[in-house]
Amino acid sequence: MQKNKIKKLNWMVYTGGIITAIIFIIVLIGRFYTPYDPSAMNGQLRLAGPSLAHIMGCDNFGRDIFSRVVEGAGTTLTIAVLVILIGASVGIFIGALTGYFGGVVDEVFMRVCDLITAFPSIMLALIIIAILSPSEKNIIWCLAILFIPSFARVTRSEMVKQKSQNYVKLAKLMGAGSFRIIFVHILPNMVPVLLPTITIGFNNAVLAEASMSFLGVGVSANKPSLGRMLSESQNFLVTGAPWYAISVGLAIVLLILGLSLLGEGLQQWRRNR
Amino acid sequence: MLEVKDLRIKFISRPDKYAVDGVSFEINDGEILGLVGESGSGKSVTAMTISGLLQKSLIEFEGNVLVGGKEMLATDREDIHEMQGTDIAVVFQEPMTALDPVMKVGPQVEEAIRIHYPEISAEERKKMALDAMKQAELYDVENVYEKYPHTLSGGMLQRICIAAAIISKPKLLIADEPTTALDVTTQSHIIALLKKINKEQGTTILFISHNLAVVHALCDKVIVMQRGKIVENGSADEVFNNPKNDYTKNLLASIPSRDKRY
Ligand SMILES: Nc1ncnc2c1ncn2[C@@H]1O[C@H](COP(=O)(O)OP(=O)(O)OP(=O)(O)O)[C@@H](O)[C@H]1O
Ligand SMILES: [Mg+2]
Repeated sequence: MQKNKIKKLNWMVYTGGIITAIIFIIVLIGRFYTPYDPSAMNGQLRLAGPSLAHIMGCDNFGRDIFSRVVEGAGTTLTIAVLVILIGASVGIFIGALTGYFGGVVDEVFMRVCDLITAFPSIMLALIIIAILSPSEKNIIWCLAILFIPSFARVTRSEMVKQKSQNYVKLAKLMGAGSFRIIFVHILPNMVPVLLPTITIGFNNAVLAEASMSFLGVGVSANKPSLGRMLSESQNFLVTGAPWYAISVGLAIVLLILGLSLLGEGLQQWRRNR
Repeated sequence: MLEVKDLRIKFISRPDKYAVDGVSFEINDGEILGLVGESGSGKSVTAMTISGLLQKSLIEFEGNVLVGGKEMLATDREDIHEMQGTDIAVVFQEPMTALDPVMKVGPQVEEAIRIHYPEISAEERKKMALDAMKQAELYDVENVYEKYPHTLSGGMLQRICIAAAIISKPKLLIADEPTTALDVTTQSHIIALLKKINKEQGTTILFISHNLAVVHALCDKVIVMQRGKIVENGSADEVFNNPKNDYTKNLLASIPSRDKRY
Protein backbone atom coordinates (compact mmCIF):
# COMPACT_ATOMS: atom_id res chain seq x y z
CA MET A 1 0.00 0.00 0.00
CA GLN A 2 2.62 2.46 1.17
CA LYS A 3 4.91 1.21 -1.57
CA ASN A 4 2.20 1.68 -4.17
CA LYS A 5 1.67 5.23 -3.08
CA ILE A 6 5.34 6.05 -3.37
CA LYS A 7 5.44 4.45 -6.81
CA LYS A 8 2.50 6.52 -7.90
CA LEU A 9 4.03 9.75 -6.69
CA ASN A 10 7.33 8.92 -8.26
CA TRP A 11 5.47 8.37 -11.48
CA MET A 12 3.88 11.82 -11.27
CA VAL A 13 7.07 13.63 -10.34
CA TYR A 14 9.09 11.86 -13.00
CA THR A 15 6.59 12.19 -15.84
CA GLY A 16 5.87 15.81 -14.99
CA GLY A 17 9.56 16.53 -14.57
CA ILE A 18 10.49 14.94 -17.88
CA ILE A 19 7.75 16.69 -19.86
CA THR A 20 8.66 20.04 -18.29
CA ALA A 21 12.38 19.48 -18.82
CA ILE A 22 11.93 18.60 -22.52
CA ILE A 23 9.82 21.69 -23.11
CA PHE A 24 12.35 23.88 -21.33
CA ILE A 25 15.22 22.42 -23.37
CA ILE A 26 13.40 22.93 -26.69
CA VAL A 27 12.51 26.48 -25.69
CA LEU A 28 16.08 27.21 -24.60
CA ILE A 29 17.44 25.92 -27.89
CA GLY A 30 14.75 27.98 -29.61
CA ARG A 31 16.26 31.15 -28.18
CA PHE A 32 19.24 30.56 -30.49
CA TYR A 33 17.93 28.36 -33.24
CA THR A 34 14.55 27.59 -34.77
CA PRO A 35 14.04 25.64 -38.02
CA TYR A 36 12.69 28.79 -39.69
CA ASP A 37 12.63 32.47 -38.83
CA PRO A 38 9.40 32.68 -36.76
CA SER A 39 8.39 35.94 -38.45
CA ALA A 40 9.47 35.15 -42.05
CA MET A 41 6.36 35.19 -44.27
CA ASN A 42 5.92 33.16 -47.39
CA GLY A 43 2.82 33.78 -49.52
CA GLN A 44 3.01 30.42 -51.19
CA LEU A 45 2.76 28.57 -47.90
CA ARG A 46 -0.37 30.33 -46.56
CA LEU A 47 -2.17 27.84 -44.27
CA ALA A 48 -0.10 24.98 -45.68
CA GLY A 49 -0.79 21.69 -43.93
CA PRO A 50 1.77 19.76 -41.89
CA SER A 51 4.57 18.29 -43.98
CA LEU A 52 8.08 17.01 -43.44
CA ALA A 53 9.46 20.50 -43.94
CA HIS A 54 6.88 22.18 -41.68
CA ILE A 55 5.79 19.58 -39.12
CA MET A 56 3.02 21.76 -37.70
CA GLY A 57 2.14 23.44 -40.98
CA CYS A 58 2.07 27.17 -41.70
CA ASP A 59 -0.18 30.01 -40.52
CA ASN A 60 -2.19 32.54 -42.49
CA PHE A 61 0.97 34.50 -43.35
CA GLY A 62 2.85 31.38 -44.38
CA ARG A 63 5.03 31.41 -41.23
CA ASP A 64 6.30 28.09 -39.82
CA ILE A 65 3.97 27.24 -36.91
CA PHE A 66 6.47 25.02 -35.07
CA SER A 67 9.07 27.80 -34.97
CA ARG A 68 6.40 30.21 -33.76
CA VAL A 69 5.19 27.80 -31.07
CA VAL A 70 8.75 27.44 -29.76
CA GLU A 71 9.21 31.21 -29.83
CA GLY A 72 5.79 31.76 -28.23
CA ALA A 73 6.44 29.22 -25.49
CA GLY A 74 9.70 31.09 -24.86
CA THR A 75 7.83 34.35 -24.34
CA THR A 76 5.32 32.69 -22.03
CA LEU A 77 7.94 30.85 -19.99
CA THR A 78 10.18 33.90 -19.65
CA ILE A 79 7.27 35.88 -18.27
CA ALA A 80 6.28 33.04 -15.92
CA VAL A 81 9.85 32.57 -14.66
CA LEU A 82 10.22 36.27 -13.91
CA VAL A 83 6.80 36.46 -12.26
CA ILE A 84 7.65 33.54 -9.97
CA LEU A 85 11.17 34.78 -9.30
CA ILE A 86 9.84 38.12 -8.08
CA GLY A 87 6.59 36.89 -6.53
CA ALA A 88 8.14 33.96 -4.70
CA SER A 89 11.18 35.73 -3.31
CA VAL A 90 9.17 38.71 -2.09
CA GLY A 91 6.35 36.51 -0.81
CA ILE A 92 8.65 34.08 0.98
CA PHE A 93 10.65 36.92 2.49
CA ILE A 94 7.56 38.72 3.79
CA GLY A 95 5.87 35.53 4.95
CA ALA A 96 8.98 34.39 6.79
CA LEU A 97 9.41 37.67 8.66
CA THR A 98 5.74 38.24 9.53
CA GLY A 99 5.35 34.60 10.58
CA TYR A 100 8.43 34.70 12.76
CA PHE A 101 7.90 38.03 14.46
CA GLY A 102 4.09 38.13 14.47
CA GLY A 103 2.50 41.20 16.01
CA VAL A 104 0.71 44.11 14.38
CA VAL A 105 2.72 44.08 11.14
CA ASP A 106 1.77 40.44 10.67
CA GLU A 107 -1.89 41.23 11.29
CA VAL A 108 -1.96 44.16 8.85
CA PHE A 109 -0.07 42.29 6.19
CA MET A 110 -2.34 39.28 6.27
CA ARG A 111 -5.39 41.54 5.87
CA VAL A 112 -3.78 43.10 2.78
CA CYS A 113 -3.22 39.60 1.42
CA ASP A 114 -6.87 38.74 2.09
CA LEU A 115 -7.89 41.85 0.20
CA ILE A 116 -5.80 40.98 -2.85
CA THR A 117 -6.91 37.35 -2.93
CA ALA A 118 -10.57 38.27 -2.50
CA PHE A 119 -10.68 38.98 -6.25
CA PRO A 120 -9.88 36.39 -8.90
CA SER A 121 -6.30 37.26 -9.81
CA ILE A 122 -6.75 36.99 -13.58
CA MET A 123 -9.63 39.43 -13.50
CA LEU A 124 -7.62 41.85 -11.37
CA ALA A 125 -4.68 41.49 -13.75
CA LEU A 126 -6.92 42.15 -16.76
CA ILE A 127 -8.29 45.33 -15.21
CA ILE A 128 -4.89 46.64 -14.16
CA ILE A 129 -3.28 45.90 -17.52
CA ALA A 130 -6.21 47.42 -19.39
CA ILE A 131 -5.57 50.62 -17.42
CA LEU A 132 -1.75 50.53 -17.61
CA SER A 133 -1.49 49.50 -21.28
CA PRO A 134 -0.36 46.01 -22.13
CA SER A 135 3.38 45.51 -22.20
CA GLU A 136 5.60 42.65 -21.18
CA LYS A 137 7.02 44.63 -18.28
CA ASN A 138 3.60 45.63 -16.94
CA ILE A 139 2.34 42.07 -17.14
CA ILE A 140 5.33 40.74 -15.22
CA TRP A 141 5.04 43.29 -12.42
CA CYS A 142 1.31 43.02 -12.21
CA LEU A 143 1.26 39.21 -12.03
CA ALA A 144 4.24 39.14 -9.66
CA ILE A 145 2.47 41.40 -7.19
CA LEU A 146 -0.74 39.40 -7.47
CA PHE A 147 1.21 36.19 -6.80
CA ILE A 148 2.93 37.49 -3.65
CA PRO A 149 0.07 36.69 -1.21
CA SER A 150 -0.10 32.98 -2.04
CA PHE A 151 3.62 32.55 -1.32
CA ALA A 152 3.52 34.79 1.75
CA ARG A 153 0.58 32.84 3.21
CA VAL A 154 2.11 29.40 2.79
CA THR A 155 5.47 30.58 4.12
CA ARG A 156 3.90 32.35 7.06
CA SER A 157 1.81 29.43 8.24
CA GLU A 158 4.75 27.04 7.91
CA MET A 159 6.96 29.53 9.76
CA VAL A 160 4.49 29.65 12.65
CA LYS A 161 4.73 25.86 12.86
CA GLN A 162 8.52 25.75 12.59
CA LYS A 163 9.41 28.54 14.99
CA SER A 164 8.20 26.68 18.05
CA GLN A 165 10.21 23.57 17.19
CA ASN A 166 12.96 22.48 19.56
CA TYR A 167 15.75 22.95 17.06
CA VAL A 168 14.82 26.63 16.86
CA LYS A 169 14.89 26.93 20.65
CA LEU A 170 18.32 25.31 20.73
CA ALA A 171 19.62 27.69 18.06
CA LYS A 172 18.32 30.60 20.16
CA LEU A 173 20.06 29.18 23.21
CA MET A 174 23.33 29.20 21.29
CA GLY A 175 22.87 32.91 20.83
CA ALA A 176 21.84 32.81 17.16
CA GLY A 177 20.18 36.05 15.99
CA SER A 178 16.72 36.12 14.42
CA PHE A 179 17.99 36.42 10.85
CA ARG A 180 20.32 33.48 11.22
CA ILE A 181 17.49 31.42 12.70
CA ILE A 182 15.04 32.38 9.95
CA PHE A 183 17.27 32.10 6.91
CA VAL A 184 19.90 29.53 7.88
CA HIS A 185 17.86 27.19 10.04
CA ILE A 186 14.14 27.48 9.31
CA LEU A 187 13.98 28.24 5.56
CA PRO A 188 15.87 25.09 4.50
CA ASN A 189 13.39 23.13 6.59
CA MET A 190 10.54 24.66 4.59
CA VAL A 191 11.78 23.50 1.17
CA PRO A 192 9.40 20.50 1.07
CA VAL A 193 6.50 22.92 1.49
CA LEU A 194 7.84 25.64 -0.78
CA LEU A 195 8.78 23.40 -3.71
CA PRO A 196 5.24 22.32 -4.65
CA THR A 197 3.97 25.83 -3.97
CA ILE A 198 6.49 27.28 -6.41
CA THR A 199 5.69 24.66 -9.06
CA ILE A 200 1.96 25.23 -8.78
CA GLY A 201 2.53 28.99 -8.80
CA PHE A 202 4.55 28.63 -11.98
CA ASN A 203 1.74 26.64 -13.54
CA ASN A 204 -0.71 29.40 -12.64
CA ALA A 205 1.61 32.06 -14.02
CA VAL A 206 1.76 30.25 -17.39
CA LEU A 207 -2.03 30.00 -17.45
CA ALA A 208 -2.46 33.64 -16.45
CA GLU A 209 -0.12 34.90 -19.15
CA ALA A 210 -1.71 32.67 -21.80
CA SER A 211 -5.24 33.75 -20.81
CA MET A 212 -4.32 37.41 -20.86
CA SER A 213 -2.69 37.17 -24.28
CA PHE A 214 -5.65 35.16 -25.52
CA LEU A 215 -7.96 37.95 -24.45
CA GLY A 216 -5.75 40.51 -26.18
CA VAL A 217 -4.26 42.27 -23.16
CA GLY A 218 -1.02 40.36 -23.24
CA VAL A 219 2.31 40.99 -24.89
CA SER A 220 2.53 43.25 -27.92
CA ALA A 221 0.99 41.98 -31.15
CA ASN A 222 4.21 41.41 -33.08
CA LYS A 223 5.64 39.04 -30.47
CA PRO A 224 4.41 35.45 -30.61
CA SER A 225 2.98 34.11 -27.38
CA LEU A 226 1.01 30.91 -26.88
CA GLY A 227 -2.17 32.69 -25.74
CA ARG A 228 -2.19 35.17 -28.62
CA MET A 229 -1.51 32.44 -31.20
CA LEU A 230 -4.35 30.36 -29.83
CA SER A 231 -6.73 33.28 -30.19
CA GLU A 232 -5.57 33.94 -33.81
CA SER A 233 -5.73 30.29 -34.79
CA GLN A 234 -9.43 30.09 -33.82
CA ASN A 235 -10.33 31.88 -37.08
CA PHE A 236 -9.01 28.95 -39.08
CA LEU A 237 -10.24 26.15 -36.88
CA VAL A 238 -13.13 25.21 -39.17
CA THR A 239 -12.06 27.02 -42.32
CA GLY A 240 -9.12 25.07 -43.56
CA ALA A 241 -6.30 24.95 -41.00
CA PRO A 242 -7.32 23.05 -37.84
CA TRP A 243 -3.66 22.03 -37.29
CA TYR A 244 -2.84 25.63 -36.33
CA ALA A 245 -5.10 25.62 -33.26
CA ILE A 246 -4.32 21.98 -32.51
CA SER A 247 -0.54 22.58 -32.52
CA VAL A 248 -0.73 25.63 -30.28
CA GLY A 249 -3.32 23.96 -28.02
CA LEU A 250 -1.15 20.89 -27.72
CA ALA A 251 1.84 22.97 -26.67
CA ILE A 252 -0.20 24.66 -23.92
CA VAL A 253 -1.72 21.38 -22.76
CA LEU A 254 1.66 19.65 -22.56
CA LEU A 255 3.22 22.52 -20.65
CA ILE A 256 0.38 22.69 -18.13
CA LEU A 257 0.19 18.91 -17.85
CA GLY A 258 3.91 18.64 -17.09
CA LEU A 259 3.81 21.39 -14.50
CA SER A 260 0.61 20.14 -12.86
CA LEU A 261 1.94 16.59 -12.57
CA LEU A 262 5.16 17.89 -11.09
CA GLY A 263 3.35 20.17 -8.62
CA GLU A 264 0.79 17.58 -7.59
CA GLY A 265 3.44 14.87 -7.29
CA LEU A 266 5.66 17.05 -5.12
CA GLN A 267 2.71 17.95 -2.91
CA GLN A 268 1.90 14.28 -2.34
CA TRP A 269 5.55 13.50 -1.69
CA ARG A 270 5.53 16.19 1.01
CA ARG A 271 2.36 14.83 2.63
CA ASN A 272 3.71 11.28 2.72
CA ARG A 273 7.08 12.19 4.12
CA MET B 1 28.38 30.94 39.77
CA LEU B 2 24.60 31.04 39.60
CA GLU B 3 22.50 32.97 42.03
CA VAL B 4 18.70 33.04 41.88
CA LYS B 5 17.07 35.47 44.27
CA ASP B 6 13.37 35.44 45.07
CA LEU B 7 12.40 34.66 41.49
CA ARG B 8 8.72 34.98 40.60
CA ILE B 9 7.39 34.26 37.12
CA LYS B 10 3.83 34.63 35.96
CA PHE B 11 2.63 33.95 32.41
CA ILE B 12 0.41 36.72 31.10
CA SER B 13 -1.80 34.04 29.56
CA ARG B 14 -2.37 32.57 33.05
CA PRO B 15 -2.54 35.52 35.41
CA ASP B 16 -4.13 33.57 38.27
CA LYS B 17 -0.99 31.71 39.36
CA TYR B 18 2.77 32.00 39.58
CA ALA B 19 4.59 29.29 37.61
CA VAL B 20 7.63 30.06 39.76
CA ASP B 21 6.78 31.52 43.13
CA GLY B 22 9.61 32.99 45.18
CA VAL B 23 12.49 30.67 44.36
CA SER B 24 15.98 31.34 45.75
CA PHE B 25 19.06 29.17 45.43
CA GLU B 26 22.66 29.30 44.35
CA ILE B 27 25.21 27.03 42.76
CA ASN B 28 28.90 27.44 43.47
CA ASP B 29 31.61 27.07 40.84
CA GLY B 30 32.05 23.46 39.77
CA GLU B 31 29.01 22.12 41.61
CA ILE B 32 26.20 19.99 40.24
CA LEU B 33 22.79 21.01 41.52
CA GLY B 34 19.84 18.69 41.04
CA LEU B 35 16.39 20.20 40.59
CA VAL B 36 13.56 17.72 41.08
CA GLY B 37 9.78 17.92 41.35
CA GLU B 38 6.61 16.66 39.77
CA SER B 39 5.38 17.67 36.33
CA GLY B 40 4.32 21.30 36.21
CA SER B 41 6.21 22.28 39.36
CA GLY B 42 8.10 24.97 37.48
CA LYS B 43 11.46 23.31 36.85
CA SER B 44 11.61 24.07 33.16
CA VAL B 45 10.33 27.60 33.59
CA THR B 46 13.11 28.21 36.12
CA ALA B 47 15.68 26.76 33.72
CA MET B 48 14.34 28.76 30.78
CA THR B 49 14.52 31.96 32.80
CA ILE B 50 18.13 31.30 33.71
CA SER B 51 19.05 30.54 30.10
CA GLY B 52 17.20 33.60 28.81
CA LEU B 53 14.80 31.67 26.60
CA LEU B 54 11.58 33.07 28.02
CA GLN B 55 10.14 35.83 25.90
CA LYS B 56 9.86 38.87 28.16
CA SER B 57 6.62 39.98 26.51
CA LEU B 58 4.83 36.82 27.65
CA ILE B 59 5.71 36.97 31.33
CA GLU B 60 5.73 39.13 34.43
CA PHE B 61 8.77 38.65 36.56
CA GLU B 62 10.34 39.73 39.85
CA GLY B 63 13.65 38.88 41.47
CA ASN B 64 17.18 38.38 40.20
CA VAL B 65 19.08 35.79 38.24
CA LEU B 66 22.84 36.29 38.33
CA VAL B 67 25.07 34.15 36.12
CA GLY B 68 28.72 34.70 36.95
CA GLY B 69 27.68 37.99 38.49
CA LYS B 70 25.76 39.13 35.37
CA GLU B 71 22.04 39.85 35.69
CA MET B 72 19.95 37.84 33.23
CA LEU B 73 16.52 39.32 33.82
CA ALA B 74 16.93 43.04 33.34
CA THR B 75 19.51 42.90 30.55
CA ASP B 76 18.59 43.60 26.96
CA ARG B 77 18.48 40.98 24.24
CA GLU B 78 21.92 41.74 22.80
CA ASP B 79 23.70 41.02 26.07
CA ILE B 80 21.75 37.83 26.59
CA HIS B 81 22.64 36.68 23.05
CA GLU B 82 26.26 37.33 24.00
CA MET B 83 26.01 35.03 27.03
CA GLN B 84 24.02 32.28 25.34
CA GLY B 85 26.39 29.75 23.82
CA THR B 86 29.40 31.19 25.66
CA ASP B 87 28.66 31.45 29.39
CA ILE B 88 25.50 29.36 29.40
CA ALA B 89 24.72 26.23 27.42
CA VAL B 90 21.65 24.03 27.47
CA VAL B 91 20.92 20.36 26.79
CA PHE B 92 17.30 19.39 26.18
CA GLN B 93 15.12 16.45 27.00
CA GLU B 94 14.40 15.41 23.41
CA PRO B 95 17.60 14.84 21.45
CA MET B 96 15.49 13.64 18.48
CA THR B 97 13.96 17.07 17.93
CA ALA B 98 16.63 19.33 19.37
CA LEU B 99 18.76 19.36 16.23
CA ASP B 100 18.05 20.97 12.88
CA PRO B 101 16.78 18.07 10.71
CA VAL B 102 18.29 19.30 7.43
CA MET B 103 21.74 20.24 8.68
CA LYS B 104 24.60 17.79 9.24
CA VAL B 105 25.30 17.25 12.93
CA GLY B 106 28.96 18.34 12.75
CA PRO B 107 28.25 21.91 11.69
CA GLN B 108 25.56 22.05 14.38
CA VAL B 109 28.15 21.23 17.02
CA GLU B 110 30.08 24.26 15.73
CA GLU B 111 27.12 26.63 15.91
CA ALA B 112 28.11 28.45 19.12
CA ILE B 113 31.66 29.00 17.83
CA ARG B 114 30.43 30.18 14.44
CA ILE B 115 28.14 32.71 16.09
CA HIS B 116 30.37 33.99 18.85
CA TYR B 117 33.88 33.63 17.45
CA PRO B 118 33.66 34.50 13.74
CA GLU B 119 37.41 35.09 13.73
CA ILE B 120 38.09 31.37 14.13
CA SER B 121 38.76 29.71 10.75
CA ALA B 122 36.59 26.93 9.36
CA GLU B 123 39.28 24.25 9.76
CA GLU B 124 40.06 25.30 13.30
CA ARG B 125 36.33 25.26 14.06
CA LYS B 126 35.94 21.78 12.66
CA LYS B 127 38.85 20.59 14.78
CA MET B 128 37.16 22.05 17.86
CA ALA B 129 33.93 20.26 16.93
CA LEU B 130 35.68 16.92 16.50
CA ASP B 131 37.40 17.45 19.85
CA ALA B 132 34.13 18.25 21.58
CA MET B 133 32.53 15.19 19.99
CA LYS B 134 35.37 13.02 21.30
CA GLN B 135 34.92 14.54 24.73
CA ALA B 136 31.25 13.61 24.49
CA GLU B 137 32.51 10.06 23.98
CA LEU B 138 31.44 9.70 20.38
CA TYR B 139 33.54 7.36 18.29
CA ASP B 140 34.46 7.60 14.64
CA VAL B 141 33.84 11.33 14.87
CA GLU B 142 35.02 12.21 11.34
CA ASN B 143 32.30 9.97 10.01
CA VAL B 144 29.59 11.04 12.46
CA TYR B 145 30.38 14.69 11.66
CA GLU B 146 28.90 14.19 8.17
CA LYS B 147 25.67 12.50 9.32
CA TYR B 148 22.19 13.96 9.41
CA PRO B 149 20.26 13.74 12.72
CA HIS B 150 17.67 11.19 11.56
CA THR B 151 20.39 8.62 10.88
CA LEU B 152 21.67 8.60 14.48
CA SER B 153 20.28 6.97 17.64
CA GLY B 154 18.83 8.96 20.54
CA GLY B 155 21.89 8.36 22.69
CA MET B 156 24.25 9.53 19.96
CA LEU B 157 22.11 12.59 19.29
CA GLN B 158 22.20 13.49 22.98
CA ARG B 159 26.00 13.21 22.84
CA ILE B 160 25.97 15.52 19.82
CA CYS B 161 23.86 18.00 21.81
CA ILE B 162 26.29 17.75 24.71
CA ALA B 163 29.23 18.27 22.34
CA ALA B 164 27.48 21.35 20.94
CA ALA B 165 26.95 22.60 24.49
CA ILE B 166 30.52 22.12 25.73
CA ILE B 167 32.40 23.24 22.61
CA SER B 168 32.55 26.82 23.87
CA LYS B 169 33.54 25.73 27.41
CA PRO B 170 30.48 27.24 29.11
CA LYS B 171 30.63 28.12 32.78
CA LEU B 172 27.10 26.90 33.39
CA LEU B 173 25.48 23.90 31.72
CA ILE B 174 21.73 23.50 32.13
CA ALA B 175 20.45 19.99 31.44
CA ASP B 176 16.65 19.80 31.43
CA GLU B 177 15.76 16.12 31.82
CA PRO B 178 18.51 15.11 29.39
CA THR B 179 17.93 11.38 29.88
CA THR B 180 14.15 11.06 30.15
CA ALA B 181 13.74 10.15 26.47
CA LEU B 182 16.51 7.54 26.54
CA ASP B 183 16.62 3.89 27.58
CA VAL B 184 18.11 2.92 30.95
CA THR B 185 21.58 1.90 29.74
CA THR B 186 22.05 4.99 27.59
CA GLN B 187 20.71 7.04 30.46
CA SER B 188 23.48 5.87 32.79
CA HIS B 189 26.12 6.54 30.12
CA ILE B 190 24.92 10.09 29.67
CA ILE B 191 24.91 10.66 33.45
CA ALA B 192 28.47 9.37 33.66
CA LEU B 193 29.43 11.67 30.80
CA LEU B 194 27.99 14.73 32.54
CA LYS B 195 29.87 13.80 35.70
CA LYS B 196 33.09 13.49 33.68
CA ILE B 197 32.61 16.86 32.03
CA ASN B 198 31.98 18.41 35.43
CA LYS B 199 35.17 16.86 36.86
CA GLU B 200 37.48 17.50 33.91
CA GLN B 201 36.36 20.95 32.90
CA GLY B 202 34.94 22.22 36.16
CA THR B 203 31.65 23.02 34.44
CA THR B 204 28.88 24.00 36.83
CA ILE B 205 25.75 21.98 36.06
CA LEU B 206 22.09 22.54 36.79
CA PHE B 207 20.54 19.12 36.33
CA ILE B 208 16.76 18.82 36.13
CA SER B 209 15.05 15.48 36.53
CA HIS B 210 12.03 13.56 37.71
CA ASN B 211 14.30 10.79 38.82
CA LEU B 212 15.57 11.15 42.38
CA ALA B 213 17.84 8.12 42.12
CA VAL B 214 19.67 9.63 39.15
CA VAL B 215 19.91 12.95 40.92
CA HIS B 216 21.38 11.29 44.00
CA ALA B 217 24.02 9.55 41.92
CA LEU B 218 25.07 12.71 40.09
CA CYS B 219 24.49 15.80 42.17
CA ASP B 220 26.20 17.54 45.07
CA LYS B 221 23.13 19.49 46.14
CA VAL B 222 19.44 18.96 45.56
CA ILE B 223 16.43 21.27 45.40
CA VAL B 224 12.90 19.92 45.44
CA MET B 225 10.16 22.05 43.87
CA GLN B 226 6.42 21.79 44.27
CA ARG B 227 3.89 24.12 42.69
CA GLY B 228 6.49 26.78 41.94
CA LYS B 229 8.04 26.78 45.41
CA ILE B 230 11.14 25.19 46.85
CA VAL B 231 10.12 22.71 49.54
CA GLU B 232 13.49 21.12 50.27
CA ASN B 233 17.05 22.27 49.79
CA GLY B 234 20.22 20.56 50.94
CA SER B 235 23.10 18.26 50.09
CA ALA B 236 22.16 15.25 47.98
CA ASP B 237 22.83 12.81 50.81
CA GLU B 238 20.82 14.86 53.30
CA VAL B 239 17.80 15.12 51.09
CA PHE B 240 17.98 11.53 49.99
CA ASN B 241 18.60 9.85 53.32
CA ASN B 242 16.87 12.22 55.63
CA PRO B 243 14.08 14.16 53.92
CA LYS B 244 12.41 16.78 56.11
CA ASN B 245 9.44 17.48 53.90
CA ASP B 246 6.46 15.16 53.44
CA TYR B 247 6.34 15.82 49.71
CA THR B 248 9.97 14.75 49.33
CA LYS B 249 9.25 11.62 51.36
CA ASN B 250 6.45 10.75 48.95
CA LEU B 251 8.70 11.38 45.95
CA LEU B 252 11.32 9.09 47.44
CA ALA B 253 8.77 6.42 48.25
CA SER B 254 7.65 6.41 44.63
CA ILE B 255 11.11 5.36 43.41
CA PRO B 256 11.37 1.61 43.01
CA SER B 257 14.11 0.60 45.43
CA ARG B 258 17.33 -0.72 43.97
CA ASP B 259 17.05 -4.12 45.61
CA LYS B 260 13.57 -4.73 44.38
CA ARG B 261 14.10 -3.59 40.82
CA TYR B 262 14.93 -6.88 39.17
N1 LIG C 1 4.22 29.05 27.80
C1 LIG C 1 3.48 28.89 28.92
N2 LIG C 1 2.31 29.57 29.05
C2 LIG C 1 1.57 29.42 30.16
N3 LIG C 1 1.89 28.64 31.18
C3 LIG C 1 3.03 27.94 31.12
C4 LIG C 1 3.89 28.03 29.98
N4 LIG C 1 4.96 27.22 30.17
C5 LIG C 1 4.78 26.66 31.39
N5 LIG C 1 3.63 27.08 31.96
C6 LIG C 1 3.11 26.70 33.27
O1 LIG C 1 4.12 26.85 34.22
C7 LIG C 1 4.06 25.78 35.15
C8 LIG C 1 5.41 25.15 35.30
O2 LIG C 1 5.74 24.45 34.12
P1 LIG C 1 7.15 23.76 33.88
O3 LIG C 1 7.24 23.45 32.44
O4 LIG C 1 8.22 24.59 34.48
O5 LIG C 1 7.02 22.40 34.70
P2 LIG C 1 8.12 21.29 34.88
O6 LIG C 1 8.40 21.23 36.33
O7 LIG C 1 9.26 21.51 33.99
O8 LIG C 1 7.31 20.00 34.45
P3 LIG C 1 7.86 18.74 33.64
O9 LIG C 1 8.49 17.86 34.65
O10 LIG C 1 6.61 18.13 33.08
O11 LIG C 1 8.79 19.20 32.59
C9 LIG C 1 3.02 24.82 34.67
O12 LIG C 1 1.87 24.98 35.45
C10 LIG C 1 2.75 25.23 33.26
O13 LIG C 1 1.40 25.04 32.95
MG1 LIG D 1 10.07 20.43 32.22
